[in-house]
Amino acid sequence: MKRLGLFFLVAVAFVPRLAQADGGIVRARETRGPFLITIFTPSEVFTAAPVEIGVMVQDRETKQVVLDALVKLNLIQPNESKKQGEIGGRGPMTGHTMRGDSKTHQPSIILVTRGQGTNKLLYNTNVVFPATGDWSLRVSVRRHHDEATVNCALPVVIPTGRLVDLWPYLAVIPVAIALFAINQWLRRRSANTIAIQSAQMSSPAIATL
Amino acid sequence: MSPTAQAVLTSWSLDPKLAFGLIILVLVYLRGWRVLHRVISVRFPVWRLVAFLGGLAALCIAIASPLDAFSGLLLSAHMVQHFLLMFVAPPLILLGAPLLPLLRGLPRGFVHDGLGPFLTWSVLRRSGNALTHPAVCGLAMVVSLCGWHLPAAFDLALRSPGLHKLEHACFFGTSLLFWWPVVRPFPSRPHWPLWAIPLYLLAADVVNTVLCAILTFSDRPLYSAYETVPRLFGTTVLSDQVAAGVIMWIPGSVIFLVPATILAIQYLSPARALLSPVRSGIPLVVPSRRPAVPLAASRRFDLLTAPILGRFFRARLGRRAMQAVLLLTALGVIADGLFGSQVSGTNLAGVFPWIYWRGLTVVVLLVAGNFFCMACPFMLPRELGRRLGLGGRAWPRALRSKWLAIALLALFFWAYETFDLWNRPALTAWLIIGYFFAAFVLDAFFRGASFCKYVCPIGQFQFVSSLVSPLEVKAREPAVCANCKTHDCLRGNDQNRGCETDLYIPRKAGNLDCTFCLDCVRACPHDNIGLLVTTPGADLIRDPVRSSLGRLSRRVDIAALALMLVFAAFAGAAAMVDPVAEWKNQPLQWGAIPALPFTIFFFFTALLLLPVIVIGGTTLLGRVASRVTTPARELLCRFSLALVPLGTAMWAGHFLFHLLTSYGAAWPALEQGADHLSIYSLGDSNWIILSPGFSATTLLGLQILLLDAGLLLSLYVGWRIARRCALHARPALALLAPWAGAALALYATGIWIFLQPMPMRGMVMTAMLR
Repeated sequence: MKRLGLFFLVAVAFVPRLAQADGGIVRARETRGPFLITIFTPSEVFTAAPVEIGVMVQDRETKQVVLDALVKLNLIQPNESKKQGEIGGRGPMTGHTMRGDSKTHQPSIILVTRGQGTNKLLYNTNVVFPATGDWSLRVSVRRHHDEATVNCALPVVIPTGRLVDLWPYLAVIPVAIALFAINQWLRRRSANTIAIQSAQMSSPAIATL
Repeated sequence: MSPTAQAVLTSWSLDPKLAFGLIILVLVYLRGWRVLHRVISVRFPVWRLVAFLGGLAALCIAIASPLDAFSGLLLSAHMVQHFLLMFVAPPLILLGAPLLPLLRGLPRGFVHDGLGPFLTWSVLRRSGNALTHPAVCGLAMVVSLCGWHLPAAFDLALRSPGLHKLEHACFFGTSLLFWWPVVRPFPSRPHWPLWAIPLYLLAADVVNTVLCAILTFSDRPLYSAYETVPRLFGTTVLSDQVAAGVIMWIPGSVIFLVPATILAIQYLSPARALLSPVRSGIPLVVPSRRPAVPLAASRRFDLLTAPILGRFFRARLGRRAMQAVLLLTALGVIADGLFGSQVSGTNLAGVFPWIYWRGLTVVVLLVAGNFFCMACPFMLPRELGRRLGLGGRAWPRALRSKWLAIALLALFFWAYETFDLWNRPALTAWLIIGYFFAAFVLDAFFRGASFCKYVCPIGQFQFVSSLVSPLEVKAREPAVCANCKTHDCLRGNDQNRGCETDLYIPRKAGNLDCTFCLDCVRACPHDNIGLLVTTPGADLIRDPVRSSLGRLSRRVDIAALALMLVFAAFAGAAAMVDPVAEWKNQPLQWGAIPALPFTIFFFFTALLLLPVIVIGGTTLLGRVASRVTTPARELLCRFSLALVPLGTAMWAGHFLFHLLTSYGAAWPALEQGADHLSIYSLGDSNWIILSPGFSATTLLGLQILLLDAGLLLSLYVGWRIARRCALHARPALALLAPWAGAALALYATGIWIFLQPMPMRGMVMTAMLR
């Protein structure tokens, strides 16, 4: 019965990764015109993998979230960036299926819309950065006749290795093999114990009892 | 409702992997609880089920609701999330007494052979015993609660998604431990007497109160991460912090004090001694009022007995309807391929066969069985030929093997790469026309299903892949077949034809050569044939004499077919990724080697030479090292077939990539096809809908999980084959090791392929068209 605790610990260890909250860290938060604009990105931005960029637009005075603005993202590539394979130097890609879509020329101005991420108060988009370096990120917000722009730098670095992100999937094999090996060892040990006990039970000394 | 409130309330996200895991967990629990409820309803009343489901619902709300989406912006939302993870979900789940229902809900063989040795392992028993000791449980929860609420740790978790997940896992895991001594889920035994548990709860409440007091009465923000985020709903950082402290304090204390009071009353109650079920350490099992159902009486699931689907599949019209749908689709594909736009990604001939049909077929193979052959439209010309009265000849004896199909498959794989079939709608259309023609000519002139059994390359792929399918056509009760004198399943009768691929049901094993036509089901006068659940891959371990096939260990042609399909899975996917495509093109760019011989060399090496050298070599090496006496040919055949799960997984990973990244392509292609063919104008195609709703990482994870499952099943099958060939474990390991090394190398190749950029050949992606 106490095994249940262990069972749940193991279960917790193998629970699929929990849903990631939107937002990431605040990259910039500035008051411009009638808006308070906050830009969210992951804490580390890597090349060649989708990066979620979120923008929250609030009313400068009331701090109410503005949901009907037109938000555009302009990504300016650094001059001396280290290009990554084929997709280097062609501007970032948008959308969700970035892996390997390498032969397309992408727009550098991206229309960012709400509803793309989990947090529906944010304007979100996914971007794949093809090169490392300090990218310039310019967010333009327009609502009716009001317009504002916020700039920030976005350092993009080489990923530490995609295999590192995938370790839970790759660990399945060694863990399963190890568990199977223990299982086989335990079964053999159990069979041996039973065989020894049967042999002892059928020995002449016990039989005479 | 205001737009802001609407946006907040719709901010849900449930990770597909988590959703899948929870659904499986619920299904397993439900299956087990249903049986236990019948047998010992006193122990497993309905409220336990409700509690378990409620606990999982609380877990879902904590990690998938707007609470999660706003946890980075509002500390109060974050604290509600933690409250659910620590004080609601764990006790409810434990109240569901999940151990026995989950064990009973899993397949019995797996519990007995797989989990059984672990459950009785003294090391694990002692560890579990120590882990569920109240002192350990309480300490774990307190350390987790206090440690993660330190400002440095809390801020770090907010900045790193990985640490944030770890924080939640810690809270949930340690809370499960904490509530264990309180709930004492059946059939656990208590470590401490009942009177000590209210004190245990009160001690935890003191810790929680101190923590919440610090949070509530602090005059400055404790967590700097919340100082930088936008403030929502008119809150300030401090007011949000106070709200968070109160949320954890008041309801938290209630959660601790209510069970403490109940347990104290229970302890003081004079009837406690009579009610205590675990006083003697032996679980009390009270018989149910209903008669107990013998657990061993459960039969295997039979799809043909399912209410609607079963009737549909059994009816001849059901199969005809499926064939008609696919025939109409094929006609549309041919028409658009020949006369429509030659941009593959916008043509039905580029979209339906190469994105949908391949992906859906492999999914159906993995979750059910060979249903494509059941719905195959190429069989309709056979019926036409029979009506013309041309049939009757026997298939030439020299061709009664898989060699012709192997040659055709190799030709197809080569042609696919050489002529860019995925990118040539007209060629695709001609290929389908050719298929119809070949099926008509062969089946019109020859008896039975000669085309399916000996020629059809698609059929061979289906047959081999269906060796790991969970459904097979099989006799429900073997004893009924033993007494059958007519053998209508094979010979047919006045109303129904028998098996056209010559499979005699009592001696049929596995899905090889079975087209799921269900003619045998309709012909059986005893209604004794069903579509039964089987263990995927189990058929690869056994080696019985199979009807019309003999022993697979003696069929070199079938082993060669399997081996070619396995290596073709890797070669086909590798040919699509950039590094291999560049490597392939290099000699062509030098101009030294013409394209045709080079592609022939590439496929000859990948599909014939490499499999023979790698698998033949490793198997023979294992045979020498282990000194087993099993004939080399038999080992080669059996170990070649053992790789089928890995190969099928690779096919699935590859085809699912195309299906899932372009799943929205059908309707626009249909619109454009209808417009081009002047059938009907549906307006301008909206290609923007092609964007999939999941991340590339999720897809990559799914692909790797498929490969994991394929490799593990292949290794297991290989191990079982090795154990049957060698008497002891050591020589079995020696026999297996070189072959397993080759399987691991294939797996690593698959991972490498999935990690490479894969150009969307012949497919239209959102980013291209925006």
